[in-house]
Amino acid sequence: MKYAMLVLKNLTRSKRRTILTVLSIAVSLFIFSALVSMPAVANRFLADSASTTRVACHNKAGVTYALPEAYKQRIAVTPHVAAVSAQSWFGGVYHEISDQFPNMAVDPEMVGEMWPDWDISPQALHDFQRIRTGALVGTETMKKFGFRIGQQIMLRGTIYPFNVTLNIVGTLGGKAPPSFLLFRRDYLEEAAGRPGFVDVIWVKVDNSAQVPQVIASLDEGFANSSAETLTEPEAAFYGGFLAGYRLFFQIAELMGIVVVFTIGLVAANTAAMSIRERRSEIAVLRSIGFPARVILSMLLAESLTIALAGGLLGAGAAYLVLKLVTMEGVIGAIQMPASVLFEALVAAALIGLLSAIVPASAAARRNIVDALRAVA
Amino acid sequence: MAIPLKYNLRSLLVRRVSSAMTGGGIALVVLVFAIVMAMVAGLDSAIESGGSPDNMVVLRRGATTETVSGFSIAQYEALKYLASIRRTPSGEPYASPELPVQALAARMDGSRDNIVLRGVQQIGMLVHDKVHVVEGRMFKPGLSEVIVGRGLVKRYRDCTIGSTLHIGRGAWKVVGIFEAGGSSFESEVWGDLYQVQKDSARGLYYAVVRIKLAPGADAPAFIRRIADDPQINLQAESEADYYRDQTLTADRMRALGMVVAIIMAIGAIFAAMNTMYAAVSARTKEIGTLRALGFSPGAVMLSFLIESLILASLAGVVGVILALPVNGFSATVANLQTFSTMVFSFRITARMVFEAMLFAAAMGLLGGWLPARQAMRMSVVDSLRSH
Repeated sequence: MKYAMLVLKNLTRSKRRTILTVLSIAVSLFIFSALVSMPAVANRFLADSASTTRVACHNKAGVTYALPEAYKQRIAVTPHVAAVSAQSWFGGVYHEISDQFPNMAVDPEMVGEMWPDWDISPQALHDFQRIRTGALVGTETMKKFGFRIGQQIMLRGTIYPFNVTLNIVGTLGGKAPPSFLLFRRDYLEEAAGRPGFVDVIWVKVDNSAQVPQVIASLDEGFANSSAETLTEPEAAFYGGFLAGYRLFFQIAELMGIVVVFTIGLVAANTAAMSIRERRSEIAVLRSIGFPARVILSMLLAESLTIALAGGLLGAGAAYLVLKLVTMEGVIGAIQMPASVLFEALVAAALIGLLSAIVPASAAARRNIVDALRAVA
Repeated sequence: MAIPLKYNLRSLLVRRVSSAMTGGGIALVVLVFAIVMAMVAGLDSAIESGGSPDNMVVLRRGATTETVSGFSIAQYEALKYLASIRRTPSGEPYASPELPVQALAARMDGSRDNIVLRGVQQIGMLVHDKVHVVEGRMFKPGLSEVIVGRGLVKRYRDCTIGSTLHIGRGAWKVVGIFEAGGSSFESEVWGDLYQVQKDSARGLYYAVVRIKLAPGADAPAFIRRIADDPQINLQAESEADYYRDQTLTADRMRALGMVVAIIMAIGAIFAAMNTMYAAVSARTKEIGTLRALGFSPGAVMLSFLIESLILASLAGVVGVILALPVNGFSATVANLQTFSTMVFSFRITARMVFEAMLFAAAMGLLGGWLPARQAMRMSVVDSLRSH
């Protein structure tokens, strides 16, 4: 206890220095946590929001290659297929091009069976099946544009040469990507003059053990046809889109590491400064009987306290900021995983220990007579 | 009178470990700043350098990119012979109908990316005046032959002359490799327009017409004609304008990089303040001596600011030098607007070096300001008495 008091006294001796060091560590760990969260959040989004029994069947050749609508009927009669919904990407914009959010048309009949994890209310499902211009909108998009249920909105076509007028009948919650907007494909098909092509056919398998078998039977069934298919579990399908951004994630991770190095330098510098100034004092402590081991632990405890305070402050701020600010795009709201908080605190602890260990052990072992004699 | 610079240089050297660590922090911040900016500059350059000054892009009305555009062959026929379009000596217009589709291609490690498979006619090579076949030959019309961009070679499987490349639904024979001035076209595969239409199986249509205007042609009048003629009813804009709107990817990266760099800079400023405060308090007696010798409080403050500035500028130089090796490093990233993958090279420009140095100097000034002011305000008698 008496040691704790001594550590505390030392910390408050130069308040300005302690505060500056805590702040610089906090700022850096804030950045570290935010950067390291990005890939972790993307991975977790894929793992969490994807259903293990939902698979996406699309053209093997690439995203702009379509599937004939007629495939839907063939898929529906495949064993272990519980529900099927074809999807066409509309890619409309609300007002400005920069307002882009994912919007697509799906078959309304089996929305409830296909996406039971998207928390669509029975009333909304009922209205979506009843109203041809109905739309279901994710919570984030609702909030971003100030939409409310019952509102009529117009989306400007970018791929299609027309606009669609939609009535919002309900919201998408639960595990639904919060920026999505779904409307009815029969409405889109009619407006487009029934081209008979779809982008993705979503398939709900009756139990997850049958997924590999269903995937194999679909892809084999359509092999050597005019449109060969590639069927993937939902996580792999979305993961394919994210794969193109691996460079962003690599850069983010690289920056995270550089930031940690930077903090290391800052902390080591401060620790060295503060210990250097106390050399003769440490010698006094030694000469009145404090063992070197105790002095070393006290100095380390001091540095550790500063680093952990900075770590908590920085990682905590990152957690709050990420919670408040949401990123646009498919990923939706970013939330910091607990593992990142843990990593940030471990990084802080390491910084605290490593930065002080060299100057502290040197000071603790220094010859008492020399230290007392030296002019500070 | 100002305190000699030599005093500052020597002071920095006396505390060399501490100076090096503070400088190291600033150098790393400058390094991150420079790398991100080099990436943004590379992305910008890959996208913007695709355009030629007298070229126009014609898309379906409302379409934001080639990827989402599409119109009938009749609309193309209606605009093809407009007078403001340049002609070859044999009278063929410089109007290149194209169909870029997103097709999956296998990288060397087996993972698959969307890349652009662009259907063009032979005239396309004249309209895109930056595109040149550098190895092998141009594809022949009517055959399943393709030429591949330089950026794809060694990154994607079968992108060598003589190989059979499986992209889209078909199998294509690679007959040539082309360059396009470092632009994102170098991340594409080009084949015969009709063959690509057949491959995408969405019927006969074009997504874009690239046009080279005749010398002296009235571009605004051309744009109005394209929009107002009921037979055409498309939208035209200059390639420069078109590519200026395609910077979403680079803009996002720039925003992220700036936020990170600025927050890191705040951390580095705290560190610099710490060091400079320590420098001031360790030299209390020296400051008193300087004042007693007749240097004004302003000169003392200026001297400490200069010291901080020297340290930060040296650190800035180190940071920029550390960042230099990324110049020319090439990487791939998906374009946020078209989803297609593009290859680009990091670019360090003179302007960026200048900005990085300014950034470092700003960190030094901000970090040195408060400690320097404290040094200025010390009383001469008290500081001489301290020990």
